Amino acid sequence: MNTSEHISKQYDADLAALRSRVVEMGGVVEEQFRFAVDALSSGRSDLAEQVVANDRRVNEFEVEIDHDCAYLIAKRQPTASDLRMVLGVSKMVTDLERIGDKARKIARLSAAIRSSGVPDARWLEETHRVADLARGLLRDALNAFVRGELDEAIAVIRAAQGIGRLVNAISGELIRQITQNPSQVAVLLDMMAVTKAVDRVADHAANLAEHLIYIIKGTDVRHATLDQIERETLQR
Amino acid sequence: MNSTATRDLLQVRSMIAAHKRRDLAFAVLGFAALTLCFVTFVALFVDMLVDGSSRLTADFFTSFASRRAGQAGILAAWVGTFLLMLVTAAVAVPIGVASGLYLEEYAPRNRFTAIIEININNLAGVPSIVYGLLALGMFVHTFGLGASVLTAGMTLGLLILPIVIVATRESIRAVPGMIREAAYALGATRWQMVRHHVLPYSLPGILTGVIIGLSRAIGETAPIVTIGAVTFIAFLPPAPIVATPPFVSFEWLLSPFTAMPIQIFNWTSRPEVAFQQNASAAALVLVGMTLLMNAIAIWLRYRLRRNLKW
Amino acid sequence: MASKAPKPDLATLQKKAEARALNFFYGQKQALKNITLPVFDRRVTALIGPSGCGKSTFLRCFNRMHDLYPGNRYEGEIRFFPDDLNLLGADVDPIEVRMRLAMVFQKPNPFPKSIFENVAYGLRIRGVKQRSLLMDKVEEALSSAALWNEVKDRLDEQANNLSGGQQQRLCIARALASEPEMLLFDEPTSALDPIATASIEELIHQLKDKVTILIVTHNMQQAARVSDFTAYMYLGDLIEFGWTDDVFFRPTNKQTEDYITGRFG
Repeated sequence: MNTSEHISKQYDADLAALRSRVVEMGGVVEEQFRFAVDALSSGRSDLAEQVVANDRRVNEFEVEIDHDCAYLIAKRQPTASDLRMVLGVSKMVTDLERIGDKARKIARLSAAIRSSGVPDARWLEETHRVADLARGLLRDALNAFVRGELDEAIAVIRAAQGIGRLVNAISGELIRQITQNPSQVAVLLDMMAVTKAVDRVADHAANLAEHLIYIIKGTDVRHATLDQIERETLQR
Repeated sequence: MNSTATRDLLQVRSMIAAHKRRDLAFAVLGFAALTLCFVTFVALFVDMLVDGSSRLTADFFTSFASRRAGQAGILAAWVGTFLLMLVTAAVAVPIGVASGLYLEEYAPRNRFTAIIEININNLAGVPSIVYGLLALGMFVHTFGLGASVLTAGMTLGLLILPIVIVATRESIRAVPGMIREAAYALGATRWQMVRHHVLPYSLPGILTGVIIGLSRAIGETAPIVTIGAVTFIAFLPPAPIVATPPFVSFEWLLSPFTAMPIQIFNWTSRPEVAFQQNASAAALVLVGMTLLMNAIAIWLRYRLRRNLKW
Repeated sequence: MASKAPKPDLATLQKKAEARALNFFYGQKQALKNITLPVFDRRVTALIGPSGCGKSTFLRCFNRMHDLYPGNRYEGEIRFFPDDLNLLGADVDPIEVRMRLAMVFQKPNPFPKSIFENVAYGLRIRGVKQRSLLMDKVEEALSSAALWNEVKDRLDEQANNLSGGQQQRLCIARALASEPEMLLFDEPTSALDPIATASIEELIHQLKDKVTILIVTHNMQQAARVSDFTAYMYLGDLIEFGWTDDVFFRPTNKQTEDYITGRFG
């Protein structure tokens, strides 16, 4: 990221405002996700309702920041690192909004799962643990964005793959239970959906890190393997 | 509005008023100066008109000088002046334009050309009688050309040469560099550039300079008196077109002549009132000739500059 | 993984000209420092950089405009292909160079003559006299400059009566009439309004099929819009040269990055 100042101070201010809005949105989304998982663990329906209600704020953030990006492009015609920043931010807010959607989904499902009585306390524990890991990735990705750190971004992408393996183990167990307890299929499928939602949050955090690499290096690593990413980012 | 701001505003207003008073004072002064010039000129002109208008008849233009004021005319004088101007222009224009062109477009910028430039500017300030003395020594005695139209024309030509050179250089300099570059960039040589662009575009300015020079030459008396122009003459120079081949003759160049300023000077020095009237009438004609030349200059400049916009 | 559109390897592209170790001096002052830069055949190469970086000086080396003023000195060479001529060679006549490389200037500078005579001038000084041939060439050049339809009924009118944008297209037609191998544009739109600028840019786009173009511009977006290659210069040095896509999306040099993102002037 280019840290020296523009001749136009207003341009600097516009870009700085854009970045801080993304970080602000990230904070809200992270909280949403935390509350959703807490609602599931504790069974507090008021928390779940709050998450569902607050999702509107997340959506507003997405629309506003996207508008700011379009406005900056029209007004300043950014080039090189500035252009990548604006385009990258526009993609980041899409992923953040998706995380918000997942939080709302978990909050909604938590009510159904709790009302049916949790069939498996271990599942609840493990899901909470993986969700904390995913939330940590989200925070790491946002911190990497604030600091413009390439290494941290790569670490997030790598860690997201580890979460994928944990999730596979949990959902394998759930499938086993479905075959054993056909009577509880409905709630088990809800639990499966929660597990998948947590996995998607980790994926979106990895996407955020990929957008950050694009912003810093100008290389598009969305569909590359980890090895390719490391090779590419080490160049130049 | 608070009181400080009001006070500041009042100050600014009184300052503007003071500036405007000074503005008006200068306008009044300038107008007074202009009026003085104009009134003087009108007084002179009216005086000449009152004295000489009765003599401005057709006969005045077609008669030679005479001992009797009532029969005297300016035929020899105006024809002489006309021929003189032809020779003067023929001498000054090619030499002056070529010199100006060379200095502007070809000459390298060095000490030698700097000295030449200073000399040309100084020549413009040399008193005209000095040119007369030079011509007397060189053209009349050394070359043996006599007190002829040719001698006088060449003398006046030299006299206005600096004016023509300076005017040429000024108008060449007014041709924008980007026009020159446009021609060069298409592959033009220096002469093509000069011939197709610099000369045509600076022509109005050069013509103006030439006419200003001729207006000066037409009234010059001292140099042509110095070389010994005749003050009383009762014939015209030989006609330039003759009946026998090759049909053109340059004999007129070597003929003795008189000119308008000499004729006027001659009549003014006579005691009789009638001759004074002749002098006034001739002076009117001379002024008329000068104004006519200036009018032509303005017209030419207008016509030729119409398409030059930069 | 730079830009996704595949771009040919630079080594495989045909060069129209190449500056090699070019130094240029205005008297004692060195204005260009050891510039080596290829100009690829029938591509648009843009020169950008802050005022005084030497971009116009560099452009004017190609048609030897510096020869017109005393005290200028070249070192190094500009090879011109396909005949591998050194444009700066002492034995090469600048007139010949200017007949092969035409130039369009910053301000429209039509001659104060008719539209026809402006366009025909390059041919006239090459000795073309035949009216019908001149007429054909003038029409062709004006058509190439996208001006023919606007002026075909008033070829005898004064060029100065045209609008600024039309005058500049006339100057392009004048440059094109003698079929140059390369066109040099020296900030061609800096005196024009945005609409006229757009039409000149469109024209440059169309012309590059026929002729190699080198353009100096202080409008970075213009360089981004019209050129295939961009060279960034600073204080007489060539800082970065590459595909325009790369230079404007991810320049390799911090100085270039700072300049094109508006971080210093």
